Amino acid sequence: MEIGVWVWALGTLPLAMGGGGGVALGPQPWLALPLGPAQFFLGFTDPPCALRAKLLSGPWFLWAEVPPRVALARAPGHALVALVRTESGFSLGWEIAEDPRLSLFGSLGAENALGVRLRHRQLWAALLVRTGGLFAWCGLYF
Amino acid sequence: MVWAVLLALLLAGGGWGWELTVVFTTDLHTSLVRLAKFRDVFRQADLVLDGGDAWEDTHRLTGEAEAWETMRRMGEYGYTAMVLGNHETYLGPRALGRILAETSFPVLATNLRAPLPTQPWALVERKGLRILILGVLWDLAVIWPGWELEEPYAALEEALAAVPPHDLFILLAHMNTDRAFDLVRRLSRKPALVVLGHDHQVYLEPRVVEGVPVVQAGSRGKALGIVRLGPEGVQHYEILKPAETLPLAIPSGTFGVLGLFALLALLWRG
Repeated sequence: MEIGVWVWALGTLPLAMGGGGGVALGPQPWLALPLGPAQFFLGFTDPPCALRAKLLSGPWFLWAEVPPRVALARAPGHALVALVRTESGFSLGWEIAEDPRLSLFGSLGAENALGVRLRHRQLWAALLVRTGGLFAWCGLYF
Repeated sequence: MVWAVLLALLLAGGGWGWELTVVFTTDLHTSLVRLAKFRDVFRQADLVLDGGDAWEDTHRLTGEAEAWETMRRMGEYGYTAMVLGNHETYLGPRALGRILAETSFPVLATNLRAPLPTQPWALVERKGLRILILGVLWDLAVIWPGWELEEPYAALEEALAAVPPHDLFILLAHMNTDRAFDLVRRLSRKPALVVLGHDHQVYLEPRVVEGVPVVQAGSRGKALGIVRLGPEGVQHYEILKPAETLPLAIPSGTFGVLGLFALLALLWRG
């Protein structure tokens, strides 16, 4: 999975679970547009576009994507957790916010990564370690 | 002339010999079966308040159906207001927004800026008294995109400067005990009562912080609090516990959701 797709699929759970739109700027920038209960993804990635359909929007969150991916998520406490079936297998995406401004996030399983995110209102900036590389990302929720 | 003034004061109810019965629950976590036991007590109250965490239970993995049912039942029991708790935020912005839009009583979140139909305050009138109710949350809340949670003290001071005239101020707070006590100490205007939720503690007597009674009635409907307030403060305080603790219902939708995910994951493998 490319890093831009990883950020979309497993690395921005507040956006995936909460809905709405978002922009992520990093090695492979992307844009997510809200379309009612769905989100349309456009990015400098392979593939360059994707569609996410929200099937359940809380407290169980369930979504299916094209290209094929399916996720089941929940907020058990102040952590967001999503079990995601990707093309490479099952991964557990997670984000834990001890403070509204700072959170740790990552994934375990078929896709492994770890990051730290700073958040100020709708803006965020993150450092992410994945497949031995360090990547800087920033973004905006809207 | 003196009698006329006294009569006017009595009729106005402006702090002259009044008594208010406040019934409160905290951290219900969708414990409907237990809540039903207190039905008759609710009917006798002037105010029925809830300290938050009523609509979700992570331990039992409750779903949206339990949240809706609890909200509706609270409306039937005549709840005056509740404060949004951190567990309500776990419902997600869309499910929570849908439920809030149908709630028949004010759900307070004085320090939350979000596209949700919560209210910064509620003003109700009982026995000629205008009662202002504010509600703040903090610890362990999920801040979804598009939301902003203000520090409770600043938000309360800002709200108190803008609220309409009132005779009495009650605060609903959903946060850690230490944080709540510190908040009460810092407030420039002290509430007559603080209903505190989050820590699942049962206060057999009100905790008094700089003259302000702070009360809490445990969790999951195992207890209910009654406060009788008068001009001098708390006249009577009681924690009611039912003779038997009823078991909690198993949420119906959980296995369905897990089954649906398993089916989709199998069908839609990469």
